[in-house]
Formats: sequence, C-alpha cells, structure tokens
Amino acid sequence: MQRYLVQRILSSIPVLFILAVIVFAVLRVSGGDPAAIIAGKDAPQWQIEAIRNDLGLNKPVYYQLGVYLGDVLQGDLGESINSKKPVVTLIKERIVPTLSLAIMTEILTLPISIPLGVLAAWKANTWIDRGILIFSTLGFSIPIFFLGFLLIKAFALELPWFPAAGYVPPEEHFGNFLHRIILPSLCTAILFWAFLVRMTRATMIEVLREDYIRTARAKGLAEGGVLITHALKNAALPIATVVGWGIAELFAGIVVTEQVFAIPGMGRLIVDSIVRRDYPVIQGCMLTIAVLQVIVNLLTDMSYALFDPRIKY
Amino acid sequence: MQEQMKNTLSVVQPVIDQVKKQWGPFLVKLEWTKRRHPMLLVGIGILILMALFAIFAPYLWTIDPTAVDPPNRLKEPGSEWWFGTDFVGRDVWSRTIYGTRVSLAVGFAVGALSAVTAAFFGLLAGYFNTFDLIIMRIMDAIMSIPHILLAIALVSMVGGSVPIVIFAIWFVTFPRAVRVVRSSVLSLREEVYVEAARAIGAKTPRILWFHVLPGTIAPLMVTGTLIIAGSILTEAILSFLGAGIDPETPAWGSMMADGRRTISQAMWVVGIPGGFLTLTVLGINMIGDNLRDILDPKLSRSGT
Repeated sequence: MQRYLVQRILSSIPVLFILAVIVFAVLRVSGGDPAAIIAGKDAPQWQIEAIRNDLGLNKPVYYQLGVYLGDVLQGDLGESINSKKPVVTLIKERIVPTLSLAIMTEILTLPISIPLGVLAAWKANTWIDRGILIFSTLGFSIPIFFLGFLLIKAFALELPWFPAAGYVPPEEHFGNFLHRIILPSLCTAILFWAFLVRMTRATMIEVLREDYIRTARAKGLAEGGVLITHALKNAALPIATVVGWGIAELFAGIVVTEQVFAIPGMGRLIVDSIVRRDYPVIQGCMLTIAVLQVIVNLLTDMSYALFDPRIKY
Repeated sequence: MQEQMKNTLSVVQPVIDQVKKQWGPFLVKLEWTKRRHPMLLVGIGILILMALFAIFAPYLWTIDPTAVDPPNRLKEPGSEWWFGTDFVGRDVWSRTIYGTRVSLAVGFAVGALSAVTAAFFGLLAGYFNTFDLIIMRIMDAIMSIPHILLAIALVSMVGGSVPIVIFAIWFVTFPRAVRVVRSSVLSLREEVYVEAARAIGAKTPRILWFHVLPGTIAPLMVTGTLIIAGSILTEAILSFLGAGIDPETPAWGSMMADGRRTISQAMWVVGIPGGFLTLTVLGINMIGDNLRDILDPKLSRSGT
C-alpha cells in the first residue's frame, strides 16, 4: 500500500511538471505585457521598463521558468501583480465556495444518476430506457449558462423559492449558505447527471450479460438482489473512474456557474485574472486545480480496493 | 390512345429503371435508417436546417444584425420583430440567424482540425512506443486543465478573432481524440493482417497508411462529431464570458450575455439564441450517437 502510494505520487510529478511548463509557455509566449497594463495606458516607456525590471520580466523566459518552478517547490506561488497579495492567500480565500459547489454538485448527482442508469440498463431498449437516454442527451447538449438562466427565471423570478445569485459562507449562516448554493449546484449537476447516467447504463448492460448474473437469476435470487449485489458492485469500478476523471470537467462547469450566479469562487478569480493578465494568479490556480485532479485520481484508484476485494495495493 | 400511352411508357420506362438502379440502394438504405435509427435523420435534418440558415442568412428577411434602434428596444416578439428586440433595439431574429454562421464555422473547423491532428499523433503514439511516452504525457497535462479555462487564457492573451477561437478550442479538445485513435491503434497493430503485411516486407509508412489508418476512421468519425457539438458549446461559453470572438459579430453566446441583464422582463433575448444553440448541439449529438451504433456494432450492443 505504502509503496504503491509513493509510486503513484512520484509518477504524477512529470505530468505536473509538463503542465507547469505548458501553462507558463502559453501565458508568456502569447504576448500581452502585464507591465504595460499595470502602468496604465499613457505611461512613459521608462516607467514600463522599470516595472518589467521589478517583476523580473526582462530576464530570459527559461530563467523565469526556472525561478518560478523553484519557488513552487517551496510552496510559494508568487504574488498577484494586481493586488500584491500572495497567490496562496488569494486561492485560500476563493477555494471554499468552489469546493462547496463541487461537493454539493456531487451530492445532487450521484444518488440520482446511478439509480437512473441502473434502471435504464435493466429496462434496456424499452421506452423507459429511451426516455432516460433522450433526457441525458438533452442534458449535455444544453449550454450550462442557458440552463442557469432558465433555473433563475423559473425558481428565482417566477417562483421566488431561491435567491437569484450570491453566496454566504457556511460558517456565517449555514441555512442561508444551503439556500443559495442549491440552484447553482443543480445547474452544474444536470450536466454531470447526463454524463453519468449514460456511463452507468453502458457498464451495467455489459455486466448484466455475464454468466454469474444468469446463475444468480437461476438460483432464484430476487431481481433487486441481482441488480445491486451482483451487478452494480461489479459495475462500480468503471463508474468510479468516470466520477474521478470528471473533476476537471466539473471545474470547467463551475467556472461558468460561478459567473452566472455571482459566486466569488476560484473560477471567477481565474477569469478576472486572465482579463487583467495577472500571470502568477492564473498559474497558481491552474496548478492547484491540476494537483486536485491528481489527488482525486489517486483517491479513485484507492476506492477500487473497496469495491473489488481482488484488488490490493 | 392506348397505343400512344404505351409509346410514352416505353420512353419513360428506361428513365425510371435508370433512376431505380442509381438511387435504389440509397432509398433502401434510407428506409432502413428510418426504421432503425430515426434519431439520425432527425439530427441530420436539424443540421441541414441550421446550415441553410447560415448560408442564406442575408436573404431570410433579416436586417443588419448590428443595427441599433434604441426607441424600439425590448419589443416583444410579434409581426414586426419576429423574435423581438434586445436592450438596444437590435433585431433578435437577424442576430440569431447570423449567429448560426459563427457557431457552425467554429464547430466544423475544430472538428476537422482535431480529426486530422488526432489521426497523426494517435498513429505515432499508438504504433511507436517511444513517441507514446512523450505524446501521451503532454496530452495528459493538457487534459488536466479544465478546457474552458485554458481556452479563455489562449483567446484573451492573443485577442478574439474567429481563427484564434478555433485554434484555442482545437488545442484544448484534440487530446481526447488522440486518446481514442491511440487506443484503437494499440489493438489494430496486433491484428494478423498487420503482421502479415510486416512479414511480406511492407514498409512502416505503408502499413500505417493502408492497414492501420482505415481501422481508426470509424471511431474518429464518431469522436469528431461529438467534438463538433462540444466545440459549438465551448465557443458559446467563451462568447458568454466575454473571451470569444469580438462582440460586434453576432454570436449566440454573446447575445445571451447581453440578454442576462434584462432576463426578468425580456426572456426571449436569452431564450431564443439559447434554444437555437441547444437544438443545434442536440442534433449533432444525435448524429454522433447513432453513427456510433451504426459504425461500431460491438458498442451498439452496449448502447453507450
């Protein structure tokens, strides 16, 4: 177990390294001078030069990359060009709304989509199955911000059940926090829901064709028992993989949801920083998300042992 | 009289025969598709409709989609403004119809570009172990960044024109297609006919071109279709976030971003482009789903 953990963590280092280089390269090579933006529109050339010198932007790109990677290894993500705050502090401030949105989304997704996927597989090629499939195709064809507008229009403006936008930290008032986070989570969840229903259905159909399912039915086991103990447990592995791999996509969805529902999370931090060309913040956020993805992938692999006793690490 | 009819028939008959001979297999196929995959035809129908909108946009009773008319702002849909007007009085019908152009152009350009590049890198990675290690690590790294964020970063650094948006969306989507091609190459290269080709002394490029590449076409077509749908969505999201093509060009995403402030009194400004967008993407996804069922019988049993 320990050996496996160490191996996995070591093997994710090259991916993170390449990622850091790609993000760095994309931001530097594609132009747009942060010094010119800080100095303002009509700043004289010498002032821009001074700022460039200050930020170390005059050094060769590979030198800047080396310095940056060295700092990252020491847990220092640099400081924001705009607000002068350390990037680590900024991320700490903004990560809670984003993570709560992500967790709420998963809470709303899993208990609905997995049973529906199982149902669709069990009733494969009937009208129930077709109906579920059509809704799931619709679910990932609808743009997430359009869905957000429809939800706001329906459940905040026409029926005033939920607030239209905003965020309350959970430690301030937990009830209000829940009340405000439900609509945006639902918005992100529907996309995920569509995706997971299909995945569950596909794996379950595959499993239901196995011999041991026929045996279980032949020995007279109730259909519920066949589905849950025999089929779903064996389908759990691929499903867990999909849930894990979806984290990057989930973040992509959350960026948009935060914009629609005015939630001050990491997605908005990144979008704002990109507009202001605040390189250190963008780099820091992307690295954080990538590290989260690596951790989730690791947890996913760990969870395999839970579902399948044959797997040991 | 009868003689005359017989004469006419004998003239027409060869023509009918010819038509049957030429189009017969197609009609049979169409009949079969209608029965087995009705959704494929629905999807193609939607796509053709949208393509017609894009091509004939100036002739479809549209006016200048950028013309503002403040006295007539937020007019409800009716006989004069079919789809109403937005908060500066622009005609929503004209903007929606012209918006079809951007969406389809971006979607199909990214789809084609991704298919070609994915075929190239997928073949390299799948067939040669040395390339595999390098290429797939880079693809993994690109895929671990949420694709929308990377696309926004690319666009906002360089500036929003249609080619830049196409490049940005291609860059963040093609790794997925590379993975699909690579995994089918991995199994294709173990096939007996590939081994046979190698045994009779065929050169590697020849094997790749004639024996391996054809096997990747079917999965690539399916992935390509789904990429078209995904790219149209991504372009709309970029325009919505203000990081897409310049806001002067009518695009569905930026129309909806403009419409958000008037959502409580004028839902149509958001709802109509949103509806068009959803319908287009839905149509293309339907084509992709059914293509997968048709091209890959093994997958169609599991019906993903």
